[in-house]
Amino acid sequence: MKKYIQSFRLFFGNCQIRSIVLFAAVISGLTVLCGIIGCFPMNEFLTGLAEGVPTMLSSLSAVFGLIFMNALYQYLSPVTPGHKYYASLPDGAAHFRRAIAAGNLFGIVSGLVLLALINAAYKLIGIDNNFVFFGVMLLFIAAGVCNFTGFIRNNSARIIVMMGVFCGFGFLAGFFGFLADAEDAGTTRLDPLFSSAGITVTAGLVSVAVFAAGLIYALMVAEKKWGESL
Amino acid sequence: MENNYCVRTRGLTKKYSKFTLGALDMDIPEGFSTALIGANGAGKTTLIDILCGVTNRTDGEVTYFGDSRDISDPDLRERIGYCASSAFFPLGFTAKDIAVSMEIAYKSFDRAKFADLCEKFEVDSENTKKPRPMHKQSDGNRMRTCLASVFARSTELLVLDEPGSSLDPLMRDRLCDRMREYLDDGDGRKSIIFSTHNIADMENAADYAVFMDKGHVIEQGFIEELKEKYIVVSGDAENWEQAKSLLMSGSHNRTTFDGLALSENSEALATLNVETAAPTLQQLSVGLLKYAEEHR
Repeated sequence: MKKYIQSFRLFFGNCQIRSIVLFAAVISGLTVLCGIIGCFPMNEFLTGLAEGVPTMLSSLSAVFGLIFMNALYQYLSPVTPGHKYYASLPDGAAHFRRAIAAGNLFGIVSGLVLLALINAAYKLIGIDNNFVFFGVMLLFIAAGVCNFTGFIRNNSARIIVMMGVFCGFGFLAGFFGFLADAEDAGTTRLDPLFSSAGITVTAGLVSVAVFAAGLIYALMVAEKKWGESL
Repeated sequence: MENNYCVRTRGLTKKYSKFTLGALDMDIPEGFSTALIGANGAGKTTLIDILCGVTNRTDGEVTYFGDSRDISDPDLRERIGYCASSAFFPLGFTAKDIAVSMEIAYKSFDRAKFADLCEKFEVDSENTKKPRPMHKQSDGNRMRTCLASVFARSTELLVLDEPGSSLDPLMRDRLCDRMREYLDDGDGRKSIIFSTHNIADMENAADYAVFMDKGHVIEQGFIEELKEKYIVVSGDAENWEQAKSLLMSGSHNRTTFDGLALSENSEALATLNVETAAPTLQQLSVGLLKYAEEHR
């Protein structure tokens, strides 16, 4: 495990990790604040803020870990500052592979922690927390897709593919809700998607499977792709 | 002169769509400082990148320290210190990040020495209160940090790509001293390969020179021997036409001319009432590169 953390630090140093921790602290702080505001409703504006901000933060938390992973994959490109440094290191390819594994773990764990916090805030406010489950699914799918697309050399192409997959994911969620004509029943459009335990478990398993496949693929080809980037 | 070689290449080739390096046959002597000299696009950086394993070669062979051939071998990489000309470290890295990262990457990295060298080179060290990231520093300061990091390791070969280009003259002079100290510490076992355009300023740091043009080596040898092999010639413009055939390259104006010639032509040149002298490295470089340009 120490080796994996060391490889992760090799690529990100100390300060980058500190800025990400700061970012996570801001999300956490905002969520806690919204939870407190939700507990003591004073006016509609603040209640709206308390309900709306965590919804936005849940999606943000889901893609939080991608900041690391995307930055890591960019070092494969010779035009990225730092590429020559990493390319000249002893065991650079092995460090890269280990950093991918650690980056995935960090992304998933930090995303889950933030989503759990947001879930708690939702419960305090007393609104439905389907968005949290949606966020968890997005977290796993985003990480999996990032692992698959990480080796696309063209930066723009990589971002376009990732955005396409995320948009498709959002479209599917909305589409199922729309099919169920959810708003007429007075519920949010995501409710039908999570009303059945079977659908919820299946959706969860599919997203974890996408993540696992992406991670396995990335770990299998990392050293080869590192060599090809030189 | 009998020498061991720190780097020996045979048929070394790198093919890009619009540029081909080589095939290069080079013997870089151990225990000396070797300057790679050439115009922009000559292939110096490509050669350095291949030697340090940053770029894969297309063909040919490179032998390090007489027996090692596989640059992917971590032990070999430990023995080589490398510094690129620009954006070597990630731009978000501070001196502290560099220290953390290099301590993980290299067994021989001395963190205290790095901090000490950063202070000597007058750049932010990890002991600085709020060290600035690379993107907030000038090119010169980035290069100083990079040099401090490479000198803070225990290596047998330093490969520096344009180390002096972004430094001020005073710092270039200090760098030359530091390079000399590095060679002296090695007791003939440590070597340096560096590329440069600041030939006059870096002359003190070079023992051996490799001149490159459009991906090929046009001349290589110990500088003192090259200074005996070639002469600079100068004279009145009226002798230009006669002298021209004996010169490798040269230029003239309405009153005078000067150029580079082989020493073996000195007797013939002496009959033309011209002056000859041993060339400086700068004169040698300009003369040889001009010659290569005219004979492509």
